Amino acid sequence: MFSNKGYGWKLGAALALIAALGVYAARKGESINPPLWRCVVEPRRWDNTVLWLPYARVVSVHDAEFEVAATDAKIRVTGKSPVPVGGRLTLRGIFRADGPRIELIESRPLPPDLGRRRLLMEVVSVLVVLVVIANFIRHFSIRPKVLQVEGVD
Amino acid sequence: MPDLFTHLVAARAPGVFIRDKRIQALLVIGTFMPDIAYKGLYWVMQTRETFGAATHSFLGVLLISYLCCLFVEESIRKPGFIALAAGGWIHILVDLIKFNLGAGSCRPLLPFSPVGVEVGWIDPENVVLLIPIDAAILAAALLLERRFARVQQ
Repeated sequence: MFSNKGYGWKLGAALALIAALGVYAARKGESINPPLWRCVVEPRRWDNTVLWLPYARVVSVHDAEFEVAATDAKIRVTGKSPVPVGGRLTLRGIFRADGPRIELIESRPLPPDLGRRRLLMEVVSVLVVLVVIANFIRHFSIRPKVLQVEGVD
Repeated sequence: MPDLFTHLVAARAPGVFIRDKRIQALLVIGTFMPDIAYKGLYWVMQTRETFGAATHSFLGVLLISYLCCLFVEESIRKPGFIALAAGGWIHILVDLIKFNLGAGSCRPLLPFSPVGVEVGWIDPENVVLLIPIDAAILAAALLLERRFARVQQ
């Protein structure tokens, strides 16, 4: 399994299995948390689907409902908004074709300094990647010329 | 995903007990592998989000680890595979701590179940608060490693 015997076949089989698992996951997971714009475009198909919007901005607030703009579409949400107009939140609810609208299950306000937090995380992550690559190169030598010479022999 | 620093520390801390620096480097690379594979599929290959979900499953990690271990020298391929897979599994476990309102932070049981799973200990926007704790754990792990090395000498 870990020897060089049948190396090409092993490489091909691993790639094929990863691709097959990806295709299977894509088909099985299609109905789980679809993007909002797909639900809005085909409301009947996605009726009663549970949706999670990781990021949404409140556009307007009414008595028993409010409207949010997610990254890809706008939609009405039945329930009480936890933030005022302009505030950001994450929410989970059931998509209803009549409207279309989302019936709120749970929501959580997002902090106003979310952009700064994300920027800090991105900067730290880039630094970590550089350190890890440097450490990897220290312990492994990547020598394509040697491989080519060995291949000829 | 939590920031990469948290992922790094989650793999580097148990890595203290690995003597071979090459295997230790593979354990650390293994913990970034699910994200590298996912981002590569999503941004470079332009696949669907659900296709990439397989990279964050236990079986998907095993397959990707096997594919990657074929690129290291034959003598350390088997321990390399174990280190890569362990790193990938640590990545999934760390991802599970996020709270996505019950939507699931990843789908670890693919292809047997496409359902999202999460433990829900921390809000995704607050993972930045883990950085000081991570730094303390990493410092303690590196100190422990130095002490081990001195004792062995």
